[in-house]
Amino acid sequence: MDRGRPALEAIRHFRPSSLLWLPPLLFLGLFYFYPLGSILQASFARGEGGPAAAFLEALTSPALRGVLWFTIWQAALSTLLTLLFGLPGAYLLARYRLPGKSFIQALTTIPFVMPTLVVAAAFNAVLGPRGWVNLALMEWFGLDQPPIQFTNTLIAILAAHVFYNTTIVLRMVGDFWSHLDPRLSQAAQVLGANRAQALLRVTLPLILPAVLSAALLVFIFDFTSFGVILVLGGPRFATLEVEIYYQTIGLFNLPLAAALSLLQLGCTLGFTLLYSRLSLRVTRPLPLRPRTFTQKGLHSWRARLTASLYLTVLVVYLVAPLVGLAARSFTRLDPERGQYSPVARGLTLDFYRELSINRRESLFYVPPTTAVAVSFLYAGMTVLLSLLLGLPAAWALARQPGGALSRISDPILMLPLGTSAVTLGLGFILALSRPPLDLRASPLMVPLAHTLVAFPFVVRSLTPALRSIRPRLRQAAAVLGAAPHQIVRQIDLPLVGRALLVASAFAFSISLGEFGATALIARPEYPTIPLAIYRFLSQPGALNYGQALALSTILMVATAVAMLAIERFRIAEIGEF
Amino acid sequence: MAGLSLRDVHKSFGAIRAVAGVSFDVAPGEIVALLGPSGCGKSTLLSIIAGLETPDQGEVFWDGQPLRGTPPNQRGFGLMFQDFALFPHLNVFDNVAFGLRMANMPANQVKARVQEVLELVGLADFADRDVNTLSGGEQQRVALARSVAPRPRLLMLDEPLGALDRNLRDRLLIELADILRHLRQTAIYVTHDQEEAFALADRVVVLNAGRVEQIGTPLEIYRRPNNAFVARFLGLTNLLPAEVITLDGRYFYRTAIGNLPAQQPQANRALILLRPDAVQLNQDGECRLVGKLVRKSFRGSTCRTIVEIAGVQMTFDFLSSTALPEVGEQLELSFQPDEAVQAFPTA
Repeated sequence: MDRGRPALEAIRHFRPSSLLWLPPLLFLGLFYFYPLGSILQASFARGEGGPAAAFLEALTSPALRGVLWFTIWQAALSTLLTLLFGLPGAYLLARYRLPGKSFIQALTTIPFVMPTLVVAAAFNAVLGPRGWVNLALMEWFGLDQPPIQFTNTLIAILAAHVFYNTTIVLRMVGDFWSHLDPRLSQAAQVLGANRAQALLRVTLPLILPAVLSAALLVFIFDFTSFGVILVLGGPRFATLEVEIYYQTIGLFNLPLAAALSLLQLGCTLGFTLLYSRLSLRVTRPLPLRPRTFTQKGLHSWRARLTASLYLTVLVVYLVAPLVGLAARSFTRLDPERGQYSPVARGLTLDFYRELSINRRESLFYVPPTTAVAVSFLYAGMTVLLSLLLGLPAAWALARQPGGALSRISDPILMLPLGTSAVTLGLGFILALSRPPLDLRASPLMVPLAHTLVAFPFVVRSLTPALRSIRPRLRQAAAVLGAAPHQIVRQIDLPLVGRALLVASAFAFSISLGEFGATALIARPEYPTIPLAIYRFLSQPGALNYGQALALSTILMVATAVAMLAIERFRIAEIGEF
Repeated sequence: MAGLSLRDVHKSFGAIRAVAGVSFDVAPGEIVALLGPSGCGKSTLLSIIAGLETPDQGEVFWDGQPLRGTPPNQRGFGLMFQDFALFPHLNVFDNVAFGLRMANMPANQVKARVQEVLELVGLADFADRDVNTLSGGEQQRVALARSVAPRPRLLMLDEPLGALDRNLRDRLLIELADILRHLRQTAIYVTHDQEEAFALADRVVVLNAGRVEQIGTPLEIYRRPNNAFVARFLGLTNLLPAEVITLDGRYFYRTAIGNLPAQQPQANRALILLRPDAVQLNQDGECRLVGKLVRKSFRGSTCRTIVEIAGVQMTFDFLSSTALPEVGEQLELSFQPDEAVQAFPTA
């Protein structure tokens, strides 16, 4: 045998496009795996009590066991409620032609893309002690105290989780259900099953994989919930994610925080594995039918009434908090603390005007306009960084989807998606605040973390668009008379350009709304909008409250604009989000 | 010579010979169908004519001028792709206008021409629609409109109905034929479906494995297939191996179902084609056959039967008005050998 052969083969098969993987993999190695390794190291490297001390503490301390238990059961309960609320909607949207359906579907997506802090502020604006409902009740019945205790209760957490995740059930289950052949259930009915039996025996088993996928996704989101618990749950409730934050920021017990992070990561991984095992068991090959075959109109008046009742509740539930938030940020209703003169109620722009005024004349006080500027600056840097790193990866994936490097790298690129934001932040603190890579003073720290979160979305939205530039389109243009430079201008650039815009909008809105990682690593003098909202919400006074709502409204509008841009510019049927 | 000419065109992809010495002509105003099974080199030929591929050998001429070296955008040909290849980022209007704008047509003329061709394909109200939301039939019409809009001197259609379901195909086939005739469009129509080729084309080029098997009008090809491949491809499956024998000084083909008279045999062995539609249910013909009716299936105006003769199953078509016996019964058939029998010499 010629020993030189394999090496020669490898060189001959080496394609220069493999070099495209270098920047993204280098980035992930430095800012994902290295921090993760630091977490691993920190959790085992405790001086006293042996290497497993942090884990022992995490698992034996009654308080921490309580946290773990609460994390699991609140996620389970939230998931159950989300399914109960979402499944009828999925059925309705899947099986019936309804007037204004696409509008309803678009509306239900809005909560899902909103930053947690906006959602928390929105529920606060409607049901909080200074929210619309409580103020109205106090006014009508002449009460001194807000009658409804909503914030800092479990109800608030559950309500926000259901608000957030219902759209996952509507989308994932609804989409699958809408392609399920209705003749299967009809066959069951012809064979003597009544409608309930047909649903239970035929339809539900068939849609079970979709229900399971949706449920698991919802569960993982609820399991790693951070902002909602922190703001709406108050000090009484802590999930693992919140506990990691407290241990890091409040108690500076980094080994324990690291151990908790690993515990959480392990749980998430376990749930995902469990899910893939389960879904393998229940998935059957199904002939999917186009929607025109599967959908019918609502015929009886009873059905129409039930449907409109449900849809009204759905729309009000998903939209009212956000509308309430925006309206409340423009309305003065309650007196400032220490103010006894009657309040001039009505519309006001004060909360927005106050954003740029340093009333306390404190050197340490950061005016909210700074937060807005910082946020937009970070978001811009995130867009730049994630495009710089995402483009080569997407290009490589689009060019050689079957290549060995692509097959290995694709799941690696998605890893940050499965890692909680606070864990990423903790990893940054542990790894990047000491040599060899000390970024504590660098303004890049936050954008780098945001890039890590946005990276999978950027790659996932760029790849199919790059892949969609089939050689056929170039040939078609050439035959129609386009010269090579015209093909680049008329075909390649517009297609890539739109994908770049969509990817940028993803990166931008993710960076604007990111809270978990930012809460850990942002420098106090440069807070982002979500951090400023959090600060204002945790301070007393009508003015602080109003400013929190004003900032939330700004963030909400910016996110909505980004999402509109994505909807507008993404090419239909292309794109995986 | 005016129009398109291909002379001895060859093209290989690695070890695969996609086109091996193809020559044919397309006269101005003529519609020529390239008919053949998938993988016979039809689409490669289109790519070569369009200038998307370069032939390894041979030449493509237009009005006698060789086209080698002329890039696709300067050939003035139109190509409608099998998967339509509509530009996903442009709406219907901009897709159709693409070729016109490449030719620097003034905006007002572009508008008028797009509207004209959209009316021609029955999509007058679709100008502002997103192409990604169109149905298959609508996409097909947009693709057609886009390829005819710049008035190409040659239009090539690559299995334009291939992606559509049966009903839609039958309807669009007629519309497509009307549109092409109306435009007096010089066209090459690629298909694997003989019905499409026969319905549309003035002449048909039957291709197999990169070679031309036969060129002729649809009727010529159907009446007189050149060889067993063409016959089989056209659905003429009554093919029997035969040996030439002499009886009383006359030539006969000896086959499993009996001896058939042979006029001037060219070889000792042949494949005999017995045309399914040239056999009658009576004894008027010169040759007679007796068999058992195994199956009959009603196909509208005709009835297809399978008849077992001496252990061989043969297919025959009769007019539906013919009074056929029941399945399992005997029947007597007759035919005129000069009408019904064709022999393909074999080695």
